[in-house]
Amino acid sequence: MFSKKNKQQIRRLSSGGLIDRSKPIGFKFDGKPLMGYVGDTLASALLANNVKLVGRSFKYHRPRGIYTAGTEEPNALVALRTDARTEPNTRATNIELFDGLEAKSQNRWPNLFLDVMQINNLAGPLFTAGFYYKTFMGMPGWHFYEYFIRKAAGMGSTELERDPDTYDKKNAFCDILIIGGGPTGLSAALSAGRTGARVLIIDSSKLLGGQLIWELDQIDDKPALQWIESALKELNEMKNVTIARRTTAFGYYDSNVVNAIESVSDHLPTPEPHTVRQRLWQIRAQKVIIATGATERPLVFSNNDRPGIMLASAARRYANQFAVKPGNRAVIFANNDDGYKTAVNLAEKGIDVRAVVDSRTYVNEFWKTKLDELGVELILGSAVINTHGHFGLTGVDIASLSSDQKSTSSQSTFISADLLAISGGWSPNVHLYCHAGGRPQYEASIAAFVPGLRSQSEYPAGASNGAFSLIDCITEGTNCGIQLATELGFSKTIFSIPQTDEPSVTPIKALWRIPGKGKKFVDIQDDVTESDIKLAHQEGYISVEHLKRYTTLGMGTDQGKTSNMNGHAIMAEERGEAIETVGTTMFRPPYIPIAMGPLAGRDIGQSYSAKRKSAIHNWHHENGAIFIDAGQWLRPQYYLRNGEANTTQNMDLAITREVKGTRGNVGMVDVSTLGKIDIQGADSSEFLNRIYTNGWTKLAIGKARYGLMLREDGIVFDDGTTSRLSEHHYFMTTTTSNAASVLSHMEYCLQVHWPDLDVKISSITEQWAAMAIAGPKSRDVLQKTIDEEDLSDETLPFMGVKQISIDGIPALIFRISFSGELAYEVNVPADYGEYVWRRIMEKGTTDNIIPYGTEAMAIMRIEKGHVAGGELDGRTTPDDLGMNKLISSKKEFIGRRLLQRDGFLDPKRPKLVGLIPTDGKSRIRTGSILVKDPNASLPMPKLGHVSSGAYLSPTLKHPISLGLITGGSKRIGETVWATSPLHGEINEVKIVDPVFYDKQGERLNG
Amino acid sequence: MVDKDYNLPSIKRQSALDGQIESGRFGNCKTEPGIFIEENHPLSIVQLETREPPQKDFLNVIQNLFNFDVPLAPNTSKASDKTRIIWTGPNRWLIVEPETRDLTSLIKSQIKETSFSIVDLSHARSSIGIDGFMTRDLLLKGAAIDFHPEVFLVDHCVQTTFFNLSALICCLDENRFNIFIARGFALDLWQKVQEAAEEFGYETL
Repeated sequence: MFSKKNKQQIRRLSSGGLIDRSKPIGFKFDGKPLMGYVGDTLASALLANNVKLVGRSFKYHRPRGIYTAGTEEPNALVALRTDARTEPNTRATNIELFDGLEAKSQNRWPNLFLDVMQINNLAGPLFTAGFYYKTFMGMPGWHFYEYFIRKAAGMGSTELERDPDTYDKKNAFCDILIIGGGPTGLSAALSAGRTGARVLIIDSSKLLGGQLIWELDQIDDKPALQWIESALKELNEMKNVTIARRTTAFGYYDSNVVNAIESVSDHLPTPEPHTVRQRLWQIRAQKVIIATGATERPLVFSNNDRPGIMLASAARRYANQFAVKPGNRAVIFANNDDGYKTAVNLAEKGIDVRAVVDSRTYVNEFWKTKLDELGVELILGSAVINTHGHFGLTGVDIASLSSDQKSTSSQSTFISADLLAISGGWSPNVHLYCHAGGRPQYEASIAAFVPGLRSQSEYPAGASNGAFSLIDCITEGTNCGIQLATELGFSKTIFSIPQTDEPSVTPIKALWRIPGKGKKFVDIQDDVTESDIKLAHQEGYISVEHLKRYTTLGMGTDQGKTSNMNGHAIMAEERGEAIETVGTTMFRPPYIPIAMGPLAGRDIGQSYSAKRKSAIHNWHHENGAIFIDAGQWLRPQYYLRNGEANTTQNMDLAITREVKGTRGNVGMVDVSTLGKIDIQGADSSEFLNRIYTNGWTKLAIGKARYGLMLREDGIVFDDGTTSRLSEHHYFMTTTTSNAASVLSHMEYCLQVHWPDLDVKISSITEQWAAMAIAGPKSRDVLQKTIDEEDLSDETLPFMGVKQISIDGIPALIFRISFSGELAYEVNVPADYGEYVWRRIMEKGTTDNIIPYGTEAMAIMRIEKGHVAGGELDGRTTPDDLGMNKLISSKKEFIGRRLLQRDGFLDPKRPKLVGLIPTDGKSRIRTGSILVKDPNASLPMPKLGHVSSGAYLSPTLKHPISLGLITGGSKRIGETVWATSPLHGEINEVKIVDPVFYDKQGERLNG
Repeated sequence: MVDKDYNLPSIKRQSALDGQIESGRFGNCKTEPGIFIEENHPLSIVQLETREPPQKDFLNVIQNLFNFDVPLAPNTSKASDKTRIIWTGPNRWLIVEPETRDLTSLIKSQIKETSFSIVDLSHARSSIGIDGFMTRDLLLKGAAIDFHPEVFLVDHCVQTTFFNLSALICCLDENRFNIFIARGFALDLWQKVQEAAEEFGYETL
């Protein structure tokens, strides 16, 4: 899509780097076509094209440029890709360049150069820490201001379109997980791998080697790249070692669980067919080596945020790895040897290094000689005190620093430069160590926090442990790998540590801030300045945790990777305390920003929750069923006919048809979803006696009984029928929603309360397809369907159970009724469910059999006053529901003792009643509150609530409801008001008996 | 051995996946599929549970019926060419075989003790078989279980969540596994396994 001609990369060095110059790549930044190479990051390609300005700062909208070359990047956050694949706040330093890449700068309007909100910079003194809260909170109209404040101070925004890509998850296990594939990680992998231990090494980059990739180190007198190549060759040959590239560990959790994100396709324009975009790894390791390296810190001085100022290591990396000149005229400012390394690297690449400014007063002869040879001026005991330029650096002011570093000379020197490479020292990446529960300790010799005591099985090593030299990293990695493998029982192997050629190190001298006026940025992403920290101190903030929340130091997408150490040290100086006393904030997951996609994986949309289908599902689907979720089950709610549209009117017609058809002739409903539990054992009767409120010892074989189960606190838990199939064998049914919890409850009782009982229980819910056939013609239809059995009242009376067969298929038939009609529940092995259902429908054709769904079923049960989920809501007692006759006084059962609680005996407790709208037509919404006077002053006394409702009762021709109301049946005949304030509904209702239809139960006999 | 006296209905059993499986190769099948998926159906599955650790009489019955013993080590199974017995809990096993006889009635006829419970679960569980050199990688996508061949050995089994579904996973051979789940979730599992297998290339049989 772009021209491959390359006339733009004016800052590309003519040779060197790990880029493939034979493979140019076209990309766009803010709509402008640019070129880069395979091997570039977006950041390196932008620099190669002399793009200095890449973003605007969070609060002040100051121009910002590329500041780092890694994950810690605070400035170069871009919106990557377009349309539904747009990914905001993506770090340009981490994006592998791909053909057709499109990126846009953020937090600016109308464009990066003419950003109108840069006016904030002029009003800077106003926008101190806590400005918004102090100014706007408590004032009327916060929600009005909030919109504009959020719009002005922010980052990118996401698209609302659905992400077209897929995301995956996987688990991984290993003996030793090594996080980081730098010199420490590779050394650890080699030594552990050689013992035979299962090793998993993960690295966020495509190229393993860490800093060795772009430093010019030698190992065993050869370029470090050769050592990496040799190490990888050996590791690849080990079957017990797995290498995961482009995989970033972002969280370390309990039990050595480490989560990581694999960027499977982020380096491609779109994922390859059948491939995911990203994958979430959940890794369980016995031991974890944290070899995550260290992050270079900036220095805090006036206007230290201009485009053209970057970390010294980043400048080296761009020059060495990407063959990019980060500037033409460079000044280096450091308080440690890193500045010298940078100066030498850049000078050798042909960059005009004007000076090295070192705040220390001494450096070893090695570096002095090197600078002399390259003609680079060395300015010791000095500091950069200010910078110049707007969209790009034009020069720096340098002044002498007093020995206590608290003042600078009044005279300063200006040096023209377009690159200022800064190094304030290195902070070990202790993030994962903190996640694991560790608390870092301050180590003055390197002016940084290092890991302290171990919390789990995490072993920081190398730079992440404060060991910064290459030889120390290799040694620690090697020793750690072998030690942990040995601890896990693997045998030790002989190995040798390679040699490096590093110069001796002059110790760092901590320099947390440089005196001077102007904005001195500490947290460059969140625009937190030195003065913000001073203000926080003046206002009484002592804890670093409070400092963080008040100033936002260490927040944002970089989570303080470059700012925390400086910020906390400045706080310590303000407080006049030692840094170790003031401490550091703890890092929490995630280490890098994580998209929601891989966290959700494939569990989105319809796949969010598993769908459970009955054995008769296909028939329902073919016959116009509209399904409703019942837990995970899909149940037919009602059936549309002959292409009827799914409208409210047709739904009402369908429900009416189903109720009338059932009450008039015969209907059939799929009740396979009811929980079914097989109970066997010599003590089964006694067990049922203890978990149900009513008696079970005298239930005859071949009979079913309705049972009520309570929780231990006396609240109704579940109801259902249980049938005795043989002396020691029962078949229990539960409500659909409580199937699992009833089984768990029973298991708990057997294992904890009564292990002495000889009872075995099993879920057989899925073994049986169940269908309830109800209506005056149900017996006729069933009789025609089954093989040679008599279903008369004599052989199968109400609550009787029979084992029969249908076309040779064994079936259990229960004569029980939820609808109040003559009814049978037929259970057959699930794989025969659809066959038997079809047979019954076929045989019932002449009797006008009709399938009915959950709506008709619910209406018929309300007409009969049967309780269900709305009444068994975890708040009701048997007495509330008029079920006291099911409470046995002759035995103990779960919940019995607490039934006698005062609260349960309170005569004001709401009790079950029926409700009818006085106008005979208004819909009474379930959940409505029952009150005496809808115009009473608030808080309005509540009499009860509506628990279930049928807005149409085809049988009674008017809406009916069940409810619980204080006084219960004593109020029958009264009128009260059902109110639903959320919906603005107030309806007068009459209190009636909860059994609306066939009070004598005569229809049970057909 | 007692056999063939126990007849089955002549009506064909209808699997939960009936009509849902499209045979063929799918996903990233540039070379050989990494995964082969098939439904195991129809199966006889019988749960056997004893109140106490199994005694000699019980062991003899099992030996007589199947020519091998029940596995006593947790999370293991034993198998003959036809039948596999899977440990699913203390003193509890699943006996699984392709359906050729009324296995439940057969076992009931041999075990008269009331301290045993014998429950027919043949229709309660759906089972899919997964084979192919990427099988263990696929399993790792669905379950937080270490399926490394030196850890999860042949004949090992585990009850765990697999793609958020309650499942019993049994290793039959180096790269061959059977998954058992509640029948109602069969289609859901089938689809999830297909999705997860896409990057490896898969063939449905």
